[in-house]
Amino acid sequence: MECVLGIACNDFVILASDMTNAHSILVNKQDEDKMFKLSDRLLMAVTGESGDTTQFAEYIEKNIQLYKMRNGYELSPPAAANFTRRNLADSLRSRSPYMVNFLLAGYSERTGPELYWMDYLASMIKTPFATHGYGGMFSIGIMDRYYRPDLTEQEAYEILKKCVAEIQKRLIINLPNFQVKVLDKDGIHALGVIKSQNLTA
Amino acid sequence: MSSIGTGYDLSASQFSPDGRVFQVEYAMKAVENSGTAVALRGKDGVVFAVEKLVTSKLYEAGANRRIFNIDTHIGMAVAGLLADSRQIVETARTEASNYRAEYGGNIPVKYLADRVAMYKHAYTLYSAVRPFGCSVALGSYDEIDGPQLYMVDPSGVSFGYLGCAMGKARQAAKTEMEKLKLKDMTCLELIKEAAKIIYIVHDEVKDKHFELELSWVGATTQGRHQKVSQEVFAEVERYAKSALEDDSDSGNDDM
Repeated sequence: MECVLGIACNDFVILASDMTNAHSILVNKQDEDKMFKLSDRLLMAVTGESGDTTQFAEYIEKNIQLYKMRNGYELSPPAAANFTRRNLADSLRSRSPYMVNFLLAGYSERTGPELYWMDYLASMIKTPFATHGYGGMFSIGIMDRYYRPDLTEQEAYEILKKCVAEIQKRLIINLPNFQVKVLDKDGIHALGVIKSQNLTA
Repeated sequence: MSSIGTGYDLSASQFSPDGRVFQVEYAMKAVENSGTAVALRGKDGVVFAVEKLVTSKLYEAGANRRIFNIDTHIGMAVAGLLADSRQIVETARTEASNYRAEYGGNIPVKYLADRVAMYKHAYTLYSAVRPFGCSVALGSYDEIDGPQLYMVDPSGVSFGYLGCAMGKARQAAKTEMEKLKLKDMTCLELIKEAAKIIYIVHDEVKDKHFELELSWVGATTQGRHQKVSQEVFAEVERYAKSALEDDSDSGNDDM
């Protein structure tokens, strides 16, 4: 099962997502990018029904771009998050709802870095750190233990490495690769992929 | 200037040979017949002052207000046909409400001004409806973007302003406004000047009785648009009336 992790500190938000794409017992690929860049300052890591994930993420991404084209400025992270949640809520009581869970990371001068947790029932919370998936259940305790708002990017990356090490040790499903991206005032940067062989070394 | 658009002025869906849409121009004339309204944008807020003409002593005081709240953070002052303006107010309020439902926050006033302008413009395209005979001024203040003021006229064109005036004495009001250094003035200074402008441009001969409506939105009101309080109103009115006397003493009236 898929897993995404997120930590928001004073100057940045860091997201990690697993890279496994599987159908039942068959693994399709181990290098899938589950993070979608909605704008220069908005990053979304999505899990859930294959297909729904891409459709929903791209729909939101295009609408965010449309707002920017129409009005000449970008939606703030809270506005973008509420807009996303509103769309999810509207789809929920339709004939075929989107089955997606995700973390939305945003940065703006006005609000600073923010992390939003949203699930397929259109619940939303803004929170300093969050996870989705079975792997998340192992990780949230580690984040509780080590989180501080004034972490550096390197320290937050180390916390994520601890979480990934625990997931790879204790989760029955093998998730060998985790992609990590960080969002700060200079935009979105990809940090290295955390691979299982590097951790056990 | 007052040309007759014979035959080309019957509906908004017609151009005249010299490229004018007369119905829209006639709508603007309707605005020019109404009592003056001015709006000023300063350092830390936007103020509105309206000369609400009262045609009969039998009317209840405070009836038919011309300044409205859109959500909590935007003020709208109107000039022109009051019933037309009320529909614009309703539309603006619905837009603000829909924006809040979709995006979870206050509607930016520029966005609202664009939406109101689009709406008013739509009514200038068809022969089945007439354009709105009203101009509206929208103002708001927030800590990040500061004070902002926009005006939308019957043709559906909207501009951002430092100071704007609508209604019968708008040229005179504009002249008065241009004397002021609006950018550096605080809300309290602005509201005094706005009231003074209304008193100066008010025509005592043609329109005897008027009610002054004042409102503001700025740092002093924490970004909420509201009518000025009783004390401020009294102080401002005193200032405006005494400034008016000073001005006439200084002999700017024709003898």
